[in-house]
Amino acid sequence: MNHTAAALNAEPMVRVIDLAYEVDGRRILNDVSFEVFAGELFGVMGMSGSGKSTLLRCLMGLIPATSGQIEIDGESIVGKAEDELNRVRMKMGMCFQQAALFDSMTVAENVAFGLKHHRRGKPDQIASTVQELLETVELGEFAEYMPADLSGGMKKRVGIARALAMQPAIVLYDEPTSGLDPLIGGQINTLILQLGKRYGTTSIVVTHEVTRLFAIADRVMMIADQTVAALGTPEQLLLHEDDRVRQFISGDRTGLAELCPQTPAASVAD
Amino acid sequence: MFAWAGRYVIELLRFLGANVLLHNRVLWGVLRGRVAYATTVTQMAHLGVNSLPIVAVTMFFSGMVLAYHAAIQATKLGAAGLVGWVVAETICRELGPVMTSIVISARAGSAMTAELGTMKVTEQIDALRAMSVNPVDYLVTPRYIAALVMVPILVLMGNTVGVMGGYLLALAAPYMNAYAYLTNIPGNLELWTVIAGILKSYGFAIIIAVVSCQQGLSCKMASEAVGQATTRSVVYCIMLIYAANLVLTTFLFPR
Repeated sequence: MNHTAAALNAEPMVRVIDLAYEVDGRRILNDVSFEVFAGELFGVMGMSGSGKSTLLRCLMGLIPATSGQIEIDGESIVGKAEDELNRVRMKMGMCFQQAALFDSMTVAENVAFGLKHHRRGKPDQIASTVQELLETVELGEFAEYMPADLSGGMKKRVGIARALAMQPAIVLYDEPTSGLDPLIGGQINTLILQLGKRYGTTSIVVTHEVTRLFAIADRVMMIADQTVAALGTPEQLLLHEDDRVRQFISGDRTGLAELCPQTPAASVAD
Repeated sequence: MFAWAGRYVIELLRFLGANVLLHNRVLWGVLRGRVAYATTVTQMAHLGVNSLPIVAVTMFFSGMVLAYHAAIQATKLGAAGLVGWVVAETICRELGPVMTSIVISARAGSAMTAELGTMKVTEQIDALRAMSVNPVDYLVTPRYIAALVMVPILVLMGNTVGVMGGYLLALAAPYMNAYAYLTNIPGNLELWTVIAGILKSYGFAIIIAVVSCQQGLSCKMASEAVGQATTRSVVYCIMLIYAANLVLTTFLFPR
């Protein structure tokens, strides 16, 4: 799906209006506004520490926005209590940067966790769903492995299977290919693209790896200086006039633009 | 000086407030039937089975030492026959509940903090929330119920082992009368003393579970912070157990 087709849909799946996030008096995000449409693969890029992961955490309601609006499938999540957020989160799945697998559970138990906890089916149904998902991410033989026995790429794929288990309408991917070699990174990108098409999910992928993102995204947004520096199709961004965008895409540090300063890691935490 | 004291008072109030809030959230979850039963049973096994050996060893030797000192003093006063009662009374009133709870806070409470702290640092708690699972219901409530069930049981077992430790010393020591040690206990030890000790342990159980979990959940996002939170949780538990013991003692044993 391209953004023109997506824009034909009346209501966006995700709508962010003037979002700001501040921690310890330091502004991480400021006046961030964008929309993501159903079935779209939406990329968010920016330098390390520019607030990309913070944006995902705000979308998931893991950290409260300082101001602005976030609507998920037409429902505002700002200022909602945890129980209400949990209801909205049922429509969403999230893949964490370090996979965040439950280290005391096997791979299969990790994938089955949400299904079991929310009683989505009988044990044999859950087991077959889990096996199917693990086959989809090419980890069918590793169901009984513990997360500690898996490589980084395998953990990320288990994280993807776990996020998809509840059949969410929206999946958020936080740096799904960071720290992986080009082959495994490419494999994960292909997986995200295929799964989006197969399950019809809306995907938001946060990364700083431009080439990989441009290969799969329908539209891409760049965050710089706490706000949206550019938003459009990969082709539009390649021709963007903003020096920060051109410099980031080309990877050339000797440009004119002064790229945003690093956000301390602690600022991203809740 | 005032600023320094004020900062500590604010920190103390913040700490107490966070624990009261967490306790209320646990109770609210229990009232709404949000209890993960399988996890609760697992936690009871962890807390009970893992803490039993150290509780038994601690109370066994404490009972022996107590009996040794009591025998020396009682012999001077010509009341050697009352050693068993003195040991049982002291253990059931104070030593058993307090020492057992402190040992549990060091053994099981620290494990709770370390486990939850590690989950926080590795984003596993965020993963739970992202899957619409309330971390308090899923992680804290089972540990809270497990502590409420197992701490009184361990205190009762610790009391028994402590008294038996004294009895074994009486059997071995020629200056003690082992028969009198045992036979003087039933006639002198009041049932209320035992019950009051167990009632105290419920208060200590709440302190261990809530403080340990709160420290784990509020751990900062760094691996060294897990160690710091674990140490802090044991220190806070010990201090609060002693403070609560004073309050509970004056309430349960009025003049």
